[in-house]
Amino acid sequence: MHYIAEDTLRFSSQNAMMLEFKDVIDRSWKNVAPAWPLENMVAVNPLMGFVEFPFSDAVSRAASLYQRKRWPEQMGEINRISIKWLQVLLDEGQAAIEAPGKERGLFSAFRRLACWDDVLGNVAHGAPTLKELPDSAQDCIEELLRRLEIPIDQAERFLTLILTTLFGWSANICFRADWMAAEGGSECKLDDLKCQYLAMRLIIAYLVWPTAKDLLDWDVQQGQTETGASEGALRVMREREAGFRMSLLRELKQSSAKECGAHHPADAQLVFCIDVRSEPLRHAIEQCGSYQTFGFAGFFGVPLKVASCHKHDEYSSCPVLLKPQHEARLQQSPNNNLSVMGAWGALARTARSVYQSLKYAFSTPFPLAEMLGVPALVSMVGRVVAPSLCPEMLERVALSSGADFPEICTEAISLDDRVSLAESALRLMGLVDNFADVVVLCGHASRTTNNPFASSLDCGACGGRPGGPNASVLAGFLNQSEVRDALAERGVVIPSTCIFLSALHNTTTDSVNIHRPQGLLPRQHQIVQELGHALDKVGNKLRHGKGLQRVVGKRSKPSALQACGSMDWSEVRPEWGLARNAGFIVGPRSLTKNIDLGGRCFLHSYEWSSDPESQHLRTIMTAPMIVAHWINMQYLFSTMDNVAYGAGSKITLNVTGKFGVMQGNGSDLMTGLPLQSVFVSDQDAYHEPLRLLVVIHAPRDRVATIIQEEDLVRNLVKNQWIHLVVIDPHEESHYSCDGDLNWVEC
Amino acid sequence: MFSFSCRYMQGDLGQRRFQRRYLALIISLIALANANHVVFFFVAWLLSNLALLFLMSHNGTWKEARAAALVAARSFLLAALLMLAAFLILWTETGSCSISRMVESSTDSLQMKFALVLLFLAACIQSALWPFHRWLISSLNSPTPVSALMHAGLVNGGGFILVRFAPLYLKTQEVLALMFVVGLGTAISATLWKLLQPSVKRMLACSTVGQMGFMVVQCGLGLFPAAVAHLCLHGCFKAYLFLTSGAAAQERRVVVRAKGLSQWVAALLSGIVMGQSFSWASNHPFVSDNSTVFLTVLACMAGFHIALPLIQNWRWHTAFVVLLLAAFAGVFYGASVSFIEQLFEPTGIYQPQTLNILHYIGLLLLVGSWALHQSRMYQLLYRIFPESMDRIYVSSLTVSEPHPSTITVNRSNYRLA
Repeated sequence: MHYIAEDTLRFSSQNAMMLEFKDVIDRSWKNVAPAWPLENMVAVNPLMGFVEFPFSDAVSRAASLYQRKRWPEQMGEINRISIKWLQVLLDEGQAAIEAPGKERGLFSAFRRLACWDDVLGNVAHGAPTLKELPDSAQDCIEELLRRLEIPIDQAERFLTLILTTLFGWSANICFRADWMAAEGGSECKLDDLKCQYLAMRLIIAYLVWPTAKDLLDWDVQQGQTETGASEGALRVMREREAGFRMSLLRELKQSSAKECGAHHPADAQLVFCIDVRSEPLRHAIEQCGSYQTFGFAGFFGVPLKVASCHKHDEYSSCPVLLKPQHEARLQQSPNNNLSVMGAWGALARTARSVYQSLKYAFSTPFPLAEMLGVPALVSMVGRVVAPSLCPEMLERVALSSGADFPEICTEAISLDDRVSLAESALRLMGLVDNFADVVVLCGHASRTTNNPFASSLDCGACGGRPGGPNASVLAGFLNQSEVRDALAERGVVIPSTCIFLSALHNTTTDSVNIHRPQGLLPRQHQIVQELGHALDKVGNKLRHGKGLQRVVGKRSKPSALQACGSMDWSEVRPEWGLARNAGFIVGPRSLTKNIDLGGRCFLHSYEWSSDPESQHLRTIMTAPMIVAHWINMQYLFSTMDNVAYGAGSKITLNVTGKFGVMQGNGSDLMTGLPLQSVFVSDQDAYHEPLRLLVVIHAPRDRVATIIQEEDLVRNLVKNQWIHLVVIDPHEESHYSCDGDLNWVEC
Repeated sequence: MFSFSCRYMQGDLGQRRFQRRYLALIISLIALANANHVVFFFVAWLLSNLALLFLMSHNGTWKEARAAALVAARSFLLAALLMLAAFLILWTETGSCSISRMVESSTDSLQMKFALVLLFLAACIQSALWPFHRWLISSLNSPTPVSALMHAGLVNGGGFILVRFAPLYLKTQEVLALMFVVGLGTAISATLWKLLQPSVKRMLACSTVGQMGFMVVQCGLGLFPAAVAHLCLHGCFKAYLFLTSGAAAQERRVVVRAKGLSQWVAALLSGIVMGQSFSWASNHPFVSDNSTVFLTVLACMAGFHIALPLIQNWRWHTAFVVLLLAAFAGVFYGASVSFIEQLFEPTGIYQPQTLNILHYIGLLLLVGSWALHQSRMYQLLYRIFPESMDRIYVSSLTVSEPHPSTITVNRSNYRLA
């Protein structure tokens, strides 16, 4: 820990002190991981701030902040007031009447309104204090720490405690300050939001609990008595990890031995997202005919900013580690089917607008309730009798009219960019020759209803968004003759008989919808037809399997209804998402083709021999692998302690401000996954918490070099946040990398 | 709702227990609706409230859920005592235990009036009217299906009591006036609270309080059958909203307001058309000096809103569509209200009151608050009286807060069952 020695501060100049003070504030935030909003719930490691510590050490350090069962009584009142004000001041469009002065920022709006607060305004000197404090948030923090008599060397710990006693909301602030602007959010000045938030918490603490300094003593007294996962739980986890690793590596060994090099050209090649939910589908479709599959990050290497024509908002569709560089505009196409959809859409929008204008006004909600009583009753009865009838009909209409594939305008992207995006994507996925006549780029999305966590089931590589637009854009590029010409110059020759199509894999129902443009060659048309049938068959089979899975450990029989409950409004477990994920395999498909991995592994295609500089391997290990690791940690911690790192049970959740969830009347912002995403029932976990096992098929020295050079990867491997195994193509054995970065044969 | 809850609660440890209590609640509500003997009525009332309390603290390990049940229990206990006292007085005054006989009595003593006020207070508590709204707003720690049933069924208990004793209330103008004032105050202030709420379930709870206020206004106007219609229709509507509250994060908000004189005129015209067709379908006069004018005025306001989104891009054929739509909505609305009114025709509890000064003030408040919000005049008020507006905002926010003990202030206080 880097505490600032008191004497250094005393003698340093005012300016330097300010700088150092800013440093203290920054460091107090380092244990807080950002939490994405419901709109695009990107999975992150909730213990992101602890990766420099070994895993088990980090878990117990985090436990002393996040898993404490008791806090001093006064903290409760401080939190209650914070929650009240944070809800209204951070709201993103739920309240019809916004808090006055909200646009001026958290800190100043809070100070203005808190004078009238029933508690803050009435404590001794409450209102005058609120008025006399400095205007800058940072000065205010400094002033309050002085008034609370917090010694400067303990300021960091004190601020950390102020943050972690309400860490869900802190995590949301962390997201807004560090990531929202980067995602192209319209908020202009967010950099001092962290200071504003801290200042607000300190004001409340100061007014409610003038001796808040005692929190430090209390913290010391409690010490690290409460360790998160007991040593026993961690030991069980280690044993299970070893078991999973042994069986996976054994199967990989057997499978690669079986592999005979005979390649006959495939009818179609399908590129799926690395997502664990792609794996069962890939395995099944390969059995159905001469189909070859690849795994690649679901944003298909195209960091897009997607803007739609009706919705005023735009969003990034790429991993959060990247910045969107290209804009794609979804267009309403003049195509006949779509204009019918357009008319229906316009009608639905008008109806919604009438409804909302009646609902969010004075007096008119009374007639509204009377007018809609009968329709609501009919709809309720309908949804109970045939839960998926109406939504399914809508979905059929949507499918037939191609709503999955809106026309996308990418004219803003220059030819050079298009070529280089296409080239790097093809090389990274290892598809540079032997093109089949039909290549399908398959993005994925989930389709659920009445589910606040819908976006957590979408594509992680697209930043919690559906992957359709990215697949469409890349397929579009690869079909353009000028792009193909330029690619041929760079050594990637795509035959003229080859066409790239985009598709969307609905992970909830496991159906795949292929976009079929006009003007396919007869041969291509036939292949697409056959592929479509094969995918339907596979989808049915997988759905059936899911129906069985869903009722694990229950008496009820799987029914057709349960198998496609995606549109049932009362279904709290519409799909299992990425639960049970445990492995990340980087290598050619031949390595894993004969194994049923049970939907537990991320699969990234990689051909070491065509990557002499290990440039692609570096990309894989610093981007998709990190995303997979974050997902893995999100599921792991949500299962380990669903109250601290998860969102609790869905049945009492309350959506607040359109961006987060609280439990019941009000609580800390519940970050992470809900109980129903990782548990079959209140007691039985569905997800098996295992740290990610990364298996890389590449020469050992290349992997070792990357580990040496990339700090983040080295931290993860060294501190055992992931387990790394290398299958060296030159050697017989597998090697795993241990905590001291030595290679051990296994 | 029961079938919703079956799947919704799958995997929950106490699923069976939950289902039993849920059924018990539904059955006791049905019994309550059919009870005629006061003792039977009272027992059914107690049972339904008891079942609700158990359902509210379904997750018994969660301290704040128990606290919410406790807050509700205190309110229910008070209501039960008030009701018991009222029943005792009614019994001694009329000498009968049957509700249908009680309401036929023609005694007009001070004791009767007192009993009716007590009964009204009990109804206020059950229907969560201001200042007894706290228990309902604090009740969101319960599972979603419980909230749905609570807002569709239990809070209606208050209105139900008023309707059962309507013939007596219709004879006491003073209590009707009291109902009107309390109801209107609640209706307007709870609508304001609702518009301030950033969390979806609390918004729905505040909205229910407001709707209950409006229902009591209808009772106060002597329009008891309209109040029953409101109870039933609102119950269905609110239950639906609770069950779909999980989708709140995905809801996109597009609220349009009238801009410019021409839009105001066009929308008002559509409002008048809707008011006319409503009064035609519901058999109320469009312009009159009795209290049904409240209903037609509200129908006019609804017609105004129906026109708004359509006249944003104004073309001639839209005018036709708008008027047709407004007329249709008016007929539909009028028909669903008059259907329930017809059912109650024989009971003779439909007695519109002649408007008095109090009613005119009330009408002015309903229309005024709407117009103030709709025309954005409140922004002007902001500029003139920033401090008092801040103050109004904060006090509305504070008064619509749940009871402090029911907020999960530390994350670790929340427990999985």
